[in-house]
Amino acid sequence: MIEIYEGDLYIADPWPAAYIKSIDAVVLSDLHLGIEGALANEGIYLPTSISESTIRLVKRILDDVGPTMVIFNGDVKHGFGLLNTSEWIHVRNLFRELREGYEVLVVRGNHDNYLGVVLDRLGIPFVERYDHGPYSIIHGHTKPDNLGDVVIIGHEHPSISLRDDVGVKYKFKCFLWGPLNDRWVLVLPSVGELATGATISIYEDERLSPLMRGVDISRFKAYAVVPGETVQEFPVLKDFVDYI
Amino acid sequence: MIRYADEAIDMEGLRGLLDEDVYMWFSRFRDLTPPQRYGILPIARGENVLISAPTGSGKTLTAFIYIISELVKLDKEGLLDDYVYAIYISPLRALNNDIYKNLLVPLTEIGSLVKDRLGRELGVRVAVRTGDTSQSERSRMLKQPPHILITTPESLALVITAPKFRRLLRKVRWVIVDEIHSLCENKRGVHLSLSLERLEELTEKSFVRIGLSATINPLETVAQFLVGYRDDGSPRDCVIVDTRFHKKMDLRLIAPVRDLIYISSQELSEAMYRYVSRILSKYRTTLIFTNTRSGAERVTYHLKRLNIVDADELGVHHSSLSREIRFEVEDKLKRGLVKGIVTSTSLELGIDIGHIDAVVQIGSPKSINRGLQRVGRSGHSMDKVSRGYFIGLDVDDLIEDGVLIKEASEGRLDKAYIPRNCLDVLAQHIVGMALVKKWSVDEAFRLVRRAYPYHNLDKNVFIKVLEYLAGLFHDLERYRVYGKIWYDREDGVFGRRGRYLRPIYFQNIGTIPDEAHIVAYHGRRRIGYLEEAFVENLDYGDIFVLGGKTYRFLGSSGDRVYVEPVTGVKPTVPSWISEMLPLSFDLGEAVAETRNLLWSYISSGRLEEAYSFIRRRMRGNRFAAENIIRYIKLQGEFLLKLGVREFHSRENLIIENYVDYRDGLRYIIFHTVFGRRANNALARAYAYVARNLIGYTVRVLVDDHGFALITPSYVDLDINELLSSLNSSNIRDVLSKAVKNSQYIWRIFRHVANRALMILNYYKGKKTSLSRQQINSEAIYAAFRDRDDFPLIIEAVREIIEDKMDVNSAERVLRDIEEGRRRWIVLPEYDVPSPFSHGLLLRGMQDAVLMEDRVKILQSLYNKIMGRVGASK
Repeated sequence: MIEIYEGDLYIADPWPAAYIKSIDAVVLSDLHLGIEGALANEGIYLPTSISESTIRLVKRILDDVGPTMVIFNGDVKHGFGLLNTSEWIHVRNLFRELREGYEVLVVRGNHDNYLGVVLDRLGIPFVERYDHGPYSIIHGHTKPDNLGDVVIIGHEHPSISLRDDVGVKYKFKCFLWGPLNDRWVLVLPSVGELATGATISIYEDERLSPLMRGVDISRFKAYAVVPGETVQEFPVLKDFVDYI
Repeated sequence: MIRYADEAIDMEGLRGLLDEDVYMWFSRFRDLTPPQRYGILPIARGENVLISAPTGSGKTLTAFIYIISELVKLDKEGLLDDYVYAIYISPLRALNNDIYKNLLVPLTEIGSLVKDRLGRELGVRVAVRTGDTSQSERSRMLKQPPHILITTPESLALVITAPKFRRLLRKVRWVIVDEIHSLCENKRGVHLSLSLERLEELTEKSFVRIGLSATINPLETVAQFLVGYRDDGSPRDCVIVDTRFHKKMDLRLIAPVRDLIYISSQELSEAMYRYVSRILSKYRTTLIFTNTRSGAERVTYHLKRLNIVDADELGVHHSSLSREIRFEVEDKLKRGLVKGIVTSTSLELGIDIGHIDAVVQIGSPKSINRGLQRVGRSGHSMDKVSRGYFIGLDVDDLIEDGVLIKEASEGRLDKAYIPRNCLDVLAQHIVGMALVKKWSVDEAFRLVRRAYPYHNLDKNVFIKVLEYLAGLFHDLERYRVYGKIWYDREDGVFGRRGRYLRPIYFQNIGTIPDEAHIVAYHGRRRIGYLEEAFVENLDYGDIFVLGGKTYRFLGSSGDRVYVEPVTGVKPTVPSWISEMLPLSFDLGEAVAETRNLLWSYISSGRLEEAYSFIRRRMRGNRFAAENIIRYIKLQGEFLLKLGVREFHSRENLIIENYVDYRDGLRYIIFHTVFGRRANNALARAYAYVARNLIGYTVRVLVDDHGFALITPSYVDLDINELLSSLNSSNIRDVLSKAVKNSQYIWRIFRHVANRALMILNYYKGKKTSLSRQQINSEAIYAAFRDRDDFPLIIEAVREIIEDKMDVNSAERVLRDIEEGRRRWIVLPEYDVPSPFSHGLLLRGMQDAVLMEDRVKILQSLYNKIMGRVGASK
């Protein structure tokens, strides 16, 4: 565990997840289950083992950390439309299983339309935001008011690209942690395999979240993740911007 | 059996073969051209024919005259039905329109002869069908089918699948494939070969195949590609009409300045334009070839700026220009209104471009065949001399050009390479076949094996492709989302599935990949487009040229890159490398031999002999001879200084160990003039081995004359251990692993997935967003990468190592080394690169063999950054 805030908020090293000690909760973002189905609707046919391995990863994280509570910070499901039967199965099976061992809560993401129906049936709370103590956990596709001191978002799918000694680039998913006006913000990496997302750049145009637009992230820190293996803390971005 | 035509006919002989009105029309020509003398007779006998002849030798008419005659006869007898009798296929729409016009003229004139004599209208119809043909024209064709259909390979695949049109093809008797040399070496040709076999399936009788080709070699192979095999596996027959060398050529090699090395690029280009302008003023019309589209733009710009010719009399023609602009230029050319026209490859093929007196080639055309093809555009008609001026802008180019001239005048040509067993093209055709009827696996397999590129296809692999198409590789197939065909393993039959299949097939037919274009931004302003493969190679801070201006690369993200304009700085990366043509293996070998021969003259003090060799055999001007001799002498002296008495040759392959202390990089430079395709294969295989030996990323740099492995300078790599770790029996395997571990395969896999209809470019009438596909390239590949038996992974690896690279030649080179026909000579470590390395270091193409251990690489990246951060504080 890598502590990042007041001995309470941690990065659940070696996983792409955060851990909040005071409520014994793991926070996960952007599973994008069923992305294969959404892509198939566009004429891109990929194997569904992608979603299955995402689910396996979620279970490994929870087995390893063993929290009381699991908070999914949005985009559990990929695809904007009505779920078709096949895509339901992954989602329903996962939550049915998790609710036996954990207190589960889902924060709504921009991809999560119609997810409420499934969660309702399983008795799992489905909320726009989750506030507790200093924390506001929101997905990040909107910019709500009255946020706490520490905002935890997903949505961006940040990753960092670095050059080695012979000039070759390697890309890693990462966490971003830094000041946002008078608050702090933690951007979670995506848990979903296919959702590689954009590389962090100092260009604001590329930010997906309205919260992050216009923010100077050169004072943010990045934590690169090799899921299940390691999380590596890096210095603030401005110190090595020419390596990105 | 393949045999050469040996029976010639004259005008009198022709009279016996043709309808009398058709002969009457033809008799306006006083004599037969060589292809006509030998080609018309076998066509009349119903034999398959491959005609290889230069442009302007009347080969199109050779192919058509007998067909026209037969159609006129049928018409006179009242037996000409509403069916297609002949299909003409060419790779270019522009060429199709030309041929259409060129057929209308004889048909109209013959028609009026018939009318005058017999008082009746001639009813032979011709029509063009390509992607440009409108819906209404297409339905008109169904009601009143053309007797001669002019089309492209892609449209052919479409008409043999379309239910209504198929019926009109039952009586096809002749198929003409034009410009076969430009088709057989790529997947378009492979695609066409299967279309022809599918066409065989629906015609009542086997049709006559007529192939037309410019210079290509060996003709036997191309002929077999054209005709394929019979059901029993025996080769179909073909008669070859070889009239390749009947045209006289006058080729010259030009160095524009005395010293190509120590000169500013401005002085060099001024001198070059002086030469070009001299040629322009000497002839009525000159065609100027550059190797890239951007080069064509640049040359045109400068010629206009220097006011050498009137701006109206100068045209530019390349494939990125709009159709209107190209038509306008072609039209001006035909009417003799231009003095000079600058082009990249688009005027290489046989569009009728009127009268050209001379051809200028700027830079090396990289292959003997291409050089001859380009020069052959001048002196249009057999008795004229083709004039070609080859201008070298660096010494490597100059030597290549000179060797090309020497080889061509000695009658040598490059060998054609035909891709085999392309599983993506196969998958696409199986979908087309399934749309037409239900097939037994054996029957379909028999059809596929008749096509030359699939003659050795393994049945198990064929079945894997069926399984892929049936969705059996997708674990969620129980939801029936992925399968395009149904396939019954027990009964061994397959057929179509799903109502969207037909539109999917029709919208996504073909083999030409849809490259993702990446938009370059300066702040929020759009600067222009870059190709994705180019962007992959850009590093932070690199300077490159876009639209004639220089920019610095700042970063990229998704389908965008960020740049800032800079002035007064030289570009650090060449403007575009992938469109550059690779040097052929054979020409490369000839270059190595010639360099060595020249060194043997120079080192033994016989400078005069070296000089006259370049002047006479390579047809060089004085500056060319001086440049080449100086360059080879410098290299020889460099080697002597390091204590090496041997020189680069076919047999002696020299390896340099150059350390750049300033950048902290070690370059192990292999001097192998095998062309980029074979060098790429060797480079990546050695890089993979080297990475395993040192445990660090190895970058590679490749060009036609050699390759380099780049490691950090602190890494100590045992070169002898490296050399002994790769051999002719493991290179294929090593290279496959290396390729699976490179970034290059992401893009190639996506192209393969496009052709095999796994990732559609068009779906439900909409173009699938390429940027979306782009973002997912890596992830898409990652989703399949561990499935070694997945046909599309097999194909992506095959395409890279066999087509994009040349693993076969690489394998041969390693075998030569093992058997003592060649040897490596390793130079001691040195901090200056040799003269022969400069081109590679300046302009080589880059890639890397990546680390597989993500944790290890993350740690080393962290240490590197902490070292930097620590040092700056």
